[in-house]
Amino acid sequence: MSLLHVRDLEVTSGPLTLVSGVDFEVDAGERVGLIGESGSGKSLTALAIMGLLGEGLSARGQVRFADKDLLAMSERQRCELRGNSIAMIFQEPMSALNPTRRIGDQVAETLRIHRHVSRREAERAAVGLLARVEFAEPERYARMYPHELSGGQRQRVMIASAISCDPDVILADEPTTALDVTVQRRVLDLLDRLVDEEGCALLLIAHDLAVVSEVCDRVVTMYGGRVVESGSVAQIIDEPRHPYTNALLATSKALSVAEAASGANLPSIPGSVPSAGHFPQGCPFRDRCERSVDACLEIPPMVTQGERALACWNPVGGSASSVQGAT
Amino acid sequence: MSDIVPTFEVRGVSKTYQPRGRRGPSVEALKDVSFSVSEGDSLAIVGESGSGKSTLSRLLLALEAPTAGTVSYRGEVISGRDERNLRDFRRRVQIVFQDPMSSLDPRMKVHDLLAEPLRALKLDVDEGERVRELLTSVEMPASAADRYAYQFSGGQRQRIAIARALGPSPEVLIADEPVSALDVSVRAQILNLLTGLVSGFNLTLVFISHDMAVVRHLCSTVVVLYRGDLVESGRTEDLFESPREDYTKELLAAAPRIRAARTAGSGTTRGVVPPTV
Repeated sequence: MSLLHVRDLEVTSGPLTLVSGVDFEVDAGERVGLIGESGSGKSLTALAIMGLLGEGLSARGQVRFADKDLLAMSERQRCELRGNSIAMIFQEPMSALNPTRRIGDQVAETLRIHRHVSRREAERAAVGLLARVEFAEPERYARMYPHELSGGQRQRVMIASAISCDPDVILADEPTTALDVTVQRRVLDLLDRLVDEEGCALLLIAHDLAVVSEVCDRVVTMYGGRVVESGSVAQIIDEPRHPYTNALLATSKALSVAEAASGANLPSIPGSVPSAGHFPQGCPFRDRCERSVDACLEIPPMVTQGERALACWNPVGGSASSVQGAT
Repeated sequence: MSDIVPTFEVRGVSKTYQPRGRRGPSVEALKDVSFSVSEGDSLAIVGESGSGKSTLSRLLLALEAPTAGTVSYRGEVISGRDERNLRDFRRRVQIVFQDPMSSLDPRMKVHDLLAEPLRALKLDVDEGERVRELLTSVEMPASAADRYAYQFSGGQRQRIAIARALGPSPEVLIADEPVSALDVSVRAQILNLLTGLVSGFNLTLVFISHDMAVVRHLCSTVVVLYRGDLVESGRTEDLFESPREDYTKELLAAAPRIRAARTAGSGTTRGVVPPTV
């Protein structure tokens, strides 16, 4: 029984469909990486799970969490879960934090809302949480304002806030993208350790396959608002089957700090990610794909085999029928 | 290489910024930095926020003067020189910025974006023909000239920004994080384009970046900055294979790597040097 089960999720903005047919699961304690470029729909998927889609956007389908459908809940019921059982870490901690309130108050706020503890107790707990995210002088930092902190420190504050109510799952949307390399390493290591200690599940949204391969157990690849492939990190890294995952991986492998320049051109994907509403009919990757065939004019069905799922008419390493035959 | 005049020579350069109103401590953005760039070289200036790499790029472009030391271009001191005496230098050294969304005027057509530097430098060229040439060199159709920059994707906009920098036929291209705002699938295209242009036009490249993977792929020499100090420099492969300084080691160790099984939290990189956080 999975903890979080997204089923046939669709996000629309007026006549535009931005996310459609998204299916995936996150088990208790599991770490899943949601991979994709801008416009793939990965952030919208996270916001739909949190119930934080902006005005004009609506979600359909099911988001089952501990056997309740979040999309069918009232806003009041969702508020009780948000920041409590389901926490989120955003990419830009400066815009996620309130610039006019002290760090300690903001970390304590989640506890006061969900745990109904006294102001004093919440403040004491906030200082403890700041210590857990490696602030050497937590009392001093608790009295500071967000602008007095560096980007890495602010992101650690966001993590402290996210773990404050012992969540069952943390959604982290590009939590280290805006950070310097060495700071990214520290924040990733910290997130990794705390998720372990808390035993909670993690849905890590990232465009960097290397980051996901280091932190996660499983990968879900999105393109054009759809899930195109998923599997364990080892399966996806060793044997990617969707041409998009395969191309991303080839670029990431060639453009690695561990790889000396070969002098050859880097493998790349022709064209660019279209804007919403401009993806081709059928498979959204069709017009950038070197393996596209006539069948790609139809949206390929998601075929599941064990831990793996794939939506492609002409996957890398053999026809889809070998996968289909096994189902 | 001692008797060959380097393209850029940075000698004992320091830059100190005084806070507004002279209150509070001054900021030493660069401290006694020396290095040189040879013709045809591709040099990476590597560092994180606060390392001084953006300050250094402004000094190389003679947009600011150093507090101490000199910056020379082909043997002539350019730092502190009057703008009137920099016209020729301005043509020879061009820059590509990080974010093509903000570096290109959205109200100008691509033709005008590409023609503006030619006009400003009073270059005697056929504008229409030069614009077509430039678009071809960055693999864009000639029809792009009649459209506005906002009508293009981020990758195409960066191509336009590169074409604009190539307009005055520069000798040096300074590129400040030119691919960090781009999607992964587009990043490789732009890096391939840059590689081709650098060899095709015999450009000297100064590449400012925090991305060690991109640097290893693109550059032949590297300068590492940390809090205003030049901590290490050398040939790219030597520096990546056997880094000498702790900070360089930390930078290399911190970069995420693709693995078939997760490995984070091993704590291998913590506590090597004081964190920059």
